[in-house]
Order: sequence, then structure tokens, then C-alpha cells
Amino acid sequence: MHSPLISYNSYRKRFLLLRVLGPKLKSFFIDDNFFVLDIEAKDLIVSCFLLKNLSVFKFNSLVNIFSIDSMGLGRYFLFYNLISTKYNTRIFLRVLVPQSMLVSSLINLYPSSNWLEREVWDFFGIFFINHGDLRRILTDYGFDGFPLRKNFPLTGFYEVQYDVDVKSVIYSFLETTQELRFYKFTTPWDRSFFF
Amino acid sequence: MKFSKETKSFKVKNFLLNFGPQHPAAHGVLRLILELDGELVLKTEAHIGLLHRGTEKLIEYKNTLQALPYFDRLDYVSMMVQEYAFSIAIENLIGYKANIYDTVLRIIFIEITRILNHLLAITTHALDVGAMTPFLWAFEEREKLMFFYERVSGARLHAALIRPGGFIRSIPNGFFEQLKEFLIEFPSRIDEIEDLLNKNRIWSQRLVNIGVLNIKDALSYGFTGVLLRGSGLAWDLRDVDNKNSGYDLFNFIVPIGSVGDCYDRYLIRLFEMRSSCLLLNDACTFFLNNSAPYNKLYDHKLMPPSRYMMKNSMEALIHHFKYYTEGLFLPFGFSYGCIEAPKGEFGVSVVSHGDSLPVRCNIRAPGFFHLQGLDCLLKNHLIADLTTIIGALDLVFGEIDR
Repeated sequence: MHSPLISYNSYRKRFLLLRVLGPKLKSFFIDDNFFVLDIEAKDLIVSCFLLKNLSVFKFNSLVNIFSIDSMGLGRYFLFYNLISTKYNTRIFLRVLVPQSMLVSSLINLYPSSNWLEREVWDFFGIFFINHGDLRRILTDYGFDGFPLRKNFPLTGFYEVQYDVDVKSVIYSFLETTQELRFYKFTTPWDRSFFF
Repeated sequence: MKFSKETKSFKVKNFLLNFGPQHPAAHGVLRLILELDGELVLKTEAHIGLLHRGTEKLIEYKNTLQALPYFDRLDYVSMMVQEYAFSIAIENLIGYKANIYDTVLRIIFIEITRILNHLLAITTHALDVGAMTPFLWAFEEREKLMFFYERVSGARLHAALIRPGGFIRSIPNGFFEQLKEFLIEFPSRIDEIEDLLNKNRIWSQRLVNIGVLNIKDALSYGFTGVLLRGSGLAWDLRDVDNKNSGYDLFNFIVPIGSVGDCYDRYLIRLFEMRSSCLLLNDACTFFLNNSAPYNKLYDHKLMPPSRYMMKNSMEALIHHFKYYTEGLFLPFGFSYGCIEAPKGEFGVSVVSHGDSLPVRCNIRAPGFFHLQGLDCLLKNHLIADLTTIIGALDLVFGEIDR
């Protein structure tokens, strides 16, 4: 299996990880490449604190946070991507976002989560408690809605154009000559056996 | 108008200055709100997203074939590296391992891209600081390097060459010989740039001890790439993860900085160009010694068959049709593909629910993190150092704003 990742291959460390985080873990799965831990949202800070500070882990850098909208029963998931430069390891934490859409912020543990959490808030509307500066980051000033949710249309709601009469840039409701044509060509057959 | 005779004691307040978003030293559409005390910058607040194009949302509606060209357009000065990251993420998801020829060929293009990027990064940085000549010289070299892009893909910039499963085109005859010829004379071009900059008094006065960052801060801000190495940590994904990316075939040195200032970052970029040259040379030798199979037998579930095959084989026709209509089938799961891009760790996370369209494709852009750390880097520096620090961060807004 081709993997550009550093897998969590030391069994001893894997064992330790499960011992320490054991009570916090809902489940974990080890793909061939990725070590993904499922953690409940209320245990996030404690788990990250342990992962960051215990000398056997030393996950000293938070590399990425992203969310997915899976449209399922548990709708939003957060993925945290941590690396340990000491042990050359990478780990993923997966957190099911609760119905309240509230998750604790990691800003005190990892300052890099500042903009990442702002981005998740901007795109998905997941609120981070104790963030302190949770503003939109990538969308326009005064943007409304959470664009990466699956119920947000790809074309959006507004368009921006220059109005000659007003002599300024104005927002107006989007008018397209035709609806977005979105075809799915995926076969209904199960194709998973090909791989 | 009356003047009161009493003298008033008044407090000088810090003032806010808007920088950008069309400032030429901002390397794109960066808007900064600077809080200044005289000329001293106390706080920086970056407003980004002026180039936001919704790439991640668009990819959710595109199959792999359609999504790949978006990656060229993210960081538009290091194109193929990003195609590679996406391809690797998809290949991981599918469970495909590229053969040795493709791996080495990918390394060749990644390293060409690294040189392209660093030439631009160093010389536009120099342009910001006031040295114009290196910029003009480097762009001539960039043109020569883009010729290699063009020969193999037909496009100078947005190549769309590296696809999940291999290369969309075969390499033209004489490509490696030409690349070797280029590599013979290119190091002397780096020497020329070094001659102009290294011991230049203005250059060193403006770079040395500016924007110093220690390892701990660099890690906590999620810095990767040249900025992390400049702070003194030898963390290069090509090195720490060499087995999987194919870099274990080649020898190269990971340079690290001693001070962690902008001058270190400049020196590291220069060094990386030289080591990329050596890597390219080795990779070309690899191909000249073991001739690559001409008709590579790709897995046609991943790569389209050739036109000839498509016209002559029923199987191939079916594969062709399925590839161009349905696209690649992405099995259920999560996958992450990352590569040491010239700017840092460029990662693509793909989540699929068993469909040809991904549920989510997240792009981890290194520049996003570097810009986030700008506040930390710029604190208590003069406003004149702003251009130096932004230049050394090597920001490209295509990838930051996505």
C-alpha cells in the first residue's frame, strides 16, 4: 500500500496510546496507512492535552482541522491531524460534532487552531467554545450561511456585480439562465470488489 | 479660532493602518490591519479570502478527472506538487501503488517545480527588498524550466499531468538528456544570484535577525517547510517519510537554519535549489540507465487507455467510456495524501462514501499557517520589515484562500 504518511507502526506506542486514551475512546480504526481515533467531543481537550504533553506521544503540532458534512445521522465530523516531530508520527482524531454544534476550542493547546477553527466555523457553522475571536475568515464580509454544508447550493444565493448607475459594487439575487445541471454517472452496482 | 492658553497633556494613541489588498509587496490580495506605535508594529490582523474560489466545494461536485486541474490553480507557482498530493490521496483511498518509473518521474517533476517556486520566492523577495536584477535573471531560468513542463504536458503552468494512477502523457524522446544539459549550467545561475545577494549590505541589513522564530513557536503555529527548517528543526516530509514517496532512492541533505531569521530562510531556499539539482541529476541518470517501458501498462480502471487501444479493443473502449463519464470510483473511506511542497506540507484529505464524487476534499495549504503566524513574526518589528517578512513567508494567495 502506498502511503505518504508516517504510520503509527510501533506496537508498544500503539498499546500505550490505547491505555492512556482508552476510557476516552469510542472506537479507533487503523487503516493500512492512517491511525484514526474516535473521540467524543467532551473529551477532546483532555485527549489533546495528553497527546501533546505525554513524553511517549509528543504530538507537538496541530497540522489541520477539517470538518465533513456526511448527511447521516451524526451529521458533522471534525478531523484533527496531529504530528509528532519527535517520533515521526501522524495521528488523526475524529470527533462527532454533537447536536448543539458546540465543540471546545483547542486554541490554548495549539495556537494554530485559531484560523482553522475560524475556517470550520465559516464553512460549517460549528461553534468553538472559548475561541475568543470566532469570525468568518475566507468568505466575503457580511456573508450569510455556511457554504460547505451539503444543503447550501453550489451556485450560492447572491452575485456581485458593478452597477453603473449606483457607481459601486452591488449584491443581487443570483439569476442564472438555467439551473445547475448536476448529473451523477455513478453506477448503482456495487463496484467495491474491483479494488 | 481661539486657542486656549493652557497646555493640554494628551496621550499618543496607537493607530491602525490598512495595508493592501492591492499592495505590490503583499504578493497578492492580502489585506492587513496593522496596529502601529510610531513605526513599530504591535499587532497584525490579516484579512484573507479575497481570492476565495470555493475549490473545496467545487470538488465535491466533480469527479477526479475534473477536480485535478483545480490543484494546479491553488498555488500557481508550484503546480505539479499539488497534482501529486491529490493523486496520492486518491491512490491511497483506492489502494494503488505507483510503479518505480512513475515514482521517479514524479520526483523529477516535483523537483523541477521546487526550483521554479524557489526561484520566484527568492527573487520576488529580493524585489520587495529592493534588488531587481535577480528577479530578471531568475525569470529567464523559470522560462527554461517551464519549457520542460511544456514539452511533457503542452502547458507552461497548469500541466494537469500527474493523475491518480500515473501520467497522462508519456515523456518525449530526449527529455532527460535536455534536462541534464540544463542542470549543467543552472548551478552557475544560482551562483550569480548568490553573488548579488549573499554579501550585499542592504540585503543582509534587511534580512539578518528579522522575523526570528524559535522551534516551539514554529511548531505550535503549524509551520512546515522552509520556515520550520529555518527555525532549526530538520523536518522534511521527503526525508521523514522517504520510503513511501520514493525519496529513499536518492541522497539529499535537509538544510536547517541556525538563527531562524529571514536570512536563514533565504539560504535554505538557495540550498534546496542546489539539492534539487542533484536530485534531478540522479533521477535523470536513473532513467538514462534503466530505460522506462515505452508502453506502460496502466491499470485502466485508473488511467484511460491509449487512443489506439481504445479503437482496437472492446475492453479498452468500455474502460475509456467509464473513465470519461463516471470517473474514478472512490471506495468508502478516508485518506490523506501529503507532500513536501516548496512552501511546506501540502496535504489533501479525501473522504468518500463510495461514489465517484468525494464527500469532502480538504486542502491543507502551508501558506495558510504561515500567514497565521505573521502576527507572531511581525510583533515589535518596524513597518519596513513587513515586506521582508511577507517575502520570506513565500505567500501565494491561490492556496491560502482556496
